[in-house]
Amino acid sequence: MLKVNVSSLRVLQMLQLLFEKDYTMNELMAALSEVSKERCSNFLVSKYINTCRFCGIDIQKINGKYTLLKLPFGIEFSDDVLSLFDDIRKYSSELRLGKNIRAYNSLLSKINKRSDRYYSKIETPEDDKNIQSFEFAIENTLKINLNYIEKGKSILILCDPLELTSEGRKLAIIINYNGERKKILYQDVISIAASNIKSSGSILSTSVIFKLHNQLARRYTIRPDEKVVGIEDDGSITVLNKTEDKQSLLNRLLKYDTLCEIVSPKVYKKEMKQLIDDTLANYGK
Amino acid sequence: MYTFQTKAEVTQISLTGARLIVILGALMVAPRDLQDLNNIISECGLVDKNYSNDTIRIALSTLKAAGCNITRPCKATMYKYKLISHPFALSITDEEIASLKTLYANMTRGSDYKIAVKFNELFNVLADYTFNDETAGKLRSITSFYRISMDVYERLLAEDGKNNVLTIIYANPAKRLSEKKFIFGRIFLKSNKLYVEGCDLENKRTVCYNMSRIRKVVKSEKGEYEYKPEIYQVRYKLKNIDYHTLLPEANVEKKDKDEAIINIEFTNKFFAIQHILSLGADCTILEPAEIKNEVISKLMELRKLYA
Repeated sequence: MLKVNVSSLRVLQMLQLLFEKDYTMNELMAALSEVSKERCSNFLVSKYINTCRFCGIDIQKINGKYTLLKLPFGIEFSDDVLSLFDDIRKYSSELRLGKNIRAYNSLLSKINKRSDRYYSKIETPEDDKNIQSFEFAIENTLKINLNYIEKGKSILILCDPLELTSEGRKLAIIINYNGERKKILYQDVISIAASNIKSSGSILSTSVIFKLHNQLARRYTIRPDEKVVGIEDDGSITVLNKTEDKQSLLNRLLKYDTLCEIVSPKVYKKEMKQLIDDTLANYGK
Repeated sequence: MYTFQTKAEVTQISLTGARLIVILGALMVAPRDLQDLNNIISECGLVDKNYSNDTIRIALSTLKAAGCNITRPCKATMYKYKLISHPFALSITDEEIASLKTLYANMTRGSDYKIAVKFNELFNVLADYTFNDETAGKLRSITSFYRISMDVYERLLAEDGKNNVLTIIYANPAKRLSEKKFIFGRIFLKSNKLYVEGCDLENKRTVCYNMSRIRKVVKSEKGEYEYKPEIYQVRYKLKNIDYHTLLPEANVEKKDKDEAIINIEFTNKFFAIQHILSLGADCTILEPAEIKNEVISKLMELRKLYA
């Protein structure tokens, strides 16, 4: 049995509680009593808070709750990383990447509690109704009624919402429509409304299989959502891609020229042929 | 490390609690032996006396009871106590990792490599602080820099802008090693990979090396020649301009409602052709004729492939 110092153990247990969330004095007394299995009075908890403060751990009472703000021996970042936090803030405030920004801000809160500096969160304008509907539909696996502009025409479809993303510095949404992933710039969206029909999400996404040859097969980096499904004796590899937006994927595979060939599905092969013909038509060929 | 308040400011504190926090903070920074820990407590001015080894051991046991994983002092730890994990470590959710991935992918698209290097440093610091191998692995693999030897990475970053002649050992995609000598030009990021571009000393052509394939930087010396990359001034017409992400170096010569004339300087013909092809039917290359003809020829071959 390890010999321990009960009083100092409670200081750490209280600190651990404050890392998780903010507490009123009564809540903290109750939580610490539960964790330490001994009744902790207001006097004791105040003493432990003072001990932490004495060591430079910044604990403040904000809106009636004890809040851990800074740790003097926590994470340290170089000046380069500090400037990156500024870059991220400047970059992201232009975008509304919905839950991505909320997740990033939640990470920053955790970092702030473990650091002796404060890193400002990203402030984004209040998400509008369309974004809220889009994220609500994803969370509740519902299809959406999407009205958007394509080539100057208003289009209304029932589709599966997949994710909020960006194209350069523009917000975009990714949907699954008839088994194909499609990226639509948010500026082209007229309205999004969650339906009450269950979404199939990305389950029905088309699986695209393509083959890579020669040096491309050797130097190609498999993307997180791809997998190699075959390796030939000559070094060629067969890759399965399930998640990339159709147009982005066709354009990307086109740049690999003859070192890449779509194997299936037929519709993608046909569309690639059409893309090649359309591109050659630009040169009168 | 600590900014103790004066005792006058605090009415009630637990000295044993304060001592434990000091020890925890000291172990978070580096492995320590009993003497180190005693010295740190004294230097903090927490007490005027030295503690016995047993008192420090009880503090270490208390840390373990609080959830810290501390190794016993042994030869491998240079006979010091090493903090392996602790309950105050950063726990990062998959959703938070996904947000970092999204930010990284968006901010480094067509961007200067320096921002990717900063992200890589951020991910490494966070990975070290999670004390969780799985999360650390996910963080470190967001960039593909973990494939690069740290020694090579730091040496090449230090070479940026110096115009020196470098000799490197390079593994080609078939993993055959060879020595390459070139005038260092610049580092750039493409498809989440770091490349070194330079000028071959013999034929004065632009060369490009994937940093993850550089096994060693053998030599760096002052060169007689200045690095002058081959320049391909590419001019093209682009439709649906809003849908495409323009490269940062793109110069929009003219823009109508949905069509633009773009000018870009490429220092690598291969990347220029790839860029034009990736824009698909929305792009019509206007000049130079050399690249235009190569694009057409590649498309004709592709047409045969899909016939």
